[in-house]
Amino acid sequence: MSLSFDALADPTRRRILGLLLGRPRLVGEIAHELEMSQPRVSKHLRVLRDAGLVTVRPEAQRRWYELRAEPLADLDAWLAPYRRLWAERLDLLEQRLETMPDVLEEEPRQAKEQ
Amino acid sequence: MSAGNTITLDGRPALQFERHLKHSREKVWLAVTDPEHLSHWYPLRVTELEPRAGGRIMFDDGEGTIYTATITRFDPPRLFAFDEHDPEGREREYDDHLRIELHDEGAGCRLVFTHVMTDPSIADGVFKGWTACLDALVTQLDTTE
Repeated sequence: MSLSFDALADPTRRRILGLLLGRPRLVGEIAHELEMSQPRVSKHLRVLRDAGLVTVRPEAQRRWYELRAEPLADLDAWLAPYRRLWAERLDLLEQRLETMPDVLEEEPRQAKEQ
Repeated sequence: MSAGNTITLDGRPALQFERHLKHSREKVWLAVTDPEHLSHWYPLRVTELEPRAGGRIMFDDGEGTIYTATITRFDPPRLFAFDEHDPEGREREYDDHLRIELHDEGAGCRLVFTHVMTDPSIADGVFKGWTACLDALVTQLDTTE
């Protein structure tokens, strides 16, 4: 799990995953999209492969890089408590709104900086 | 109600909730930006809120930790956003970012709530904080039933 997060800590690698979220891609395409050299992209892809976030599917002379979703399930699990927390907090907000008097649209709370 | 969708914002993990509220944007704006109202539903008590972009928010977790945040957007009654800083001043790549958008919808409005997360690899402390918060919430719910 920590390996995936380390791999995700780098902004370039997150951008690569973002690209792969749409569809599998060739290294050249990724390099073109990110305006980076192919060797640099390959280095990042290596880290993502080691973390199990990306797999390679050879097809004739080409190598397609694909997103592997399983480690991202860890991320989802990590977010689960937040999801519950905010759902409950927003319930509280709704309850609060029920007890508040309606405000006139003519006088919204203004606090603009001059 | 909405379960909250996992999204990414600039590649960072985020949770997004959308809710229809049967109240005017002006009223909801008050509920989300007035310290007293905000304290009622936000996980931390708000002790200070300078209502402007660049203004500061001070949160008190009731356990001796003061959290500060910097307001990044304050456009009544439409958009309220702030960056929550690390309480111990530890350096981290990103702050947590919270964003509340209000859109007119029918007789009320639609609230879009987004929480962009700190880098998960260094989120241990944050995680513990939220867990404590959840425990407190459950206790509160139990006692109010």
